[in-house]
Amino acid sequence: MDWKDYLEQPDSGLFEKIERRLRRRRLMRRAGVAATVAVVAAVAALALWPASAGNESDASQQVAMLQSPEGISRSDGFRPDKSAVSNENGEALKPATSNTPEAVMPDRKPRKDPSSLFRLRRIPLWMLLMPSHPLVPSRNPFLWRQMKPRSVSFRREKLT
Amino acid sequence: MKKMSEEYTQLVKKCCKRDERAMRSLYEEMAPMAMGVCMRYSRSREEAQDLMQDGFIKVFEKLRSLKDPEKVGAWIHQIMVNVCIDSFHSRKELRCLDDSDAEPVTMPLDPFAMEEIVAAIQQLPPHQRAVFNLVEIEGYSCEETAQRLRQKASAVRATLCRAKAALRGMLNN
Repeated sequence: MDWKDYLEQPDSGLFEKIERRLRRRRLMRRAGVAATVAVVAAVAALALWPASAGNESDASQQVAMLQSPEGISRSDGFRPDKSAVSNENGEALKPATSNTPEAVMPDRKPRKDPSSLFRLRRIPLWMLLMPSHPLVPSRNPFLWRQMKPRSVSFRREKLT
Repeated sequence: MKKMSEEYTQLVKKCCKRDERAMRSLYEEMAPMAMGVCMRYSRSREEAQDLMQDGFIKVFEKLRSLKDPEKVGAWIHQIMVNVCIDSFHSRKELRCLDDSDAEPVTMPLDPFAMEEIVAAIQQLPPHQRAVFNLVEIEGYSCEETAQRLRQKASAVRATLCRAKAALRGMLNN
């Protein structure tokens, strides 16, 4: 007796079931791969994005403040202490280093824009998902860090 | 035979490229054998078909890893056996029975029709069915079977004795 001779016909339609299951599994696998790639891209973008980029709006405000003739005008409510530039008789005192940025810049750290904490908001989600899209300014996400404006310190040096 | 091997090689190559026609013809070629294997390891025809589905999914997904396409039949047979044993493990139907005093019993099966024997095998408890199939039909030794079923060799021998005794009783009735 050879058990290799024992054959049994399965019900019809079983191959279609197998085919459907195979197709579903393939789709699930592809979806999994796409999701993983998207997550990795997002994490990589977060990691590569320089920490100073979050303060970009503050930096531009500071630069505008330095360049404006009337001095400081900030949206976050910061006002310079006017008593510091006048004596007891009310005469205006000219600061010795009035043209240096240090004289105008407050010592304390500028308040952070809360929305800048989430740095990814600067990159639209569709750009992360479709980095090769022609509307994406730089198709290589690794070059995005080069797109940030020059740092404030550099501009300060230029001003002084 | 050589032509047959070449045909199988071509069929496997096409299946690797997800050619649906080739997949269907490979299935039609191998399904009766695979169903026969699954029938022996299962309690019913429905269970056997479920096992066969799982087996063929594995076959089509792992076909690229097949090194020798000429032996696709033996490979599919082995996959079906593995799927059946895995299903037993996943259902925890295999109980470890240690009965080292039991002696192996030889049992002539020739006078009976295969369908009768398969029907009797299907009525065995799952662990006895698995042991009987692996030792008596697939030709594994008790030690190899014990390793596959994660049991002791003595337990496998004892289970085999019980399976044979049960089969003898069923077939004599």
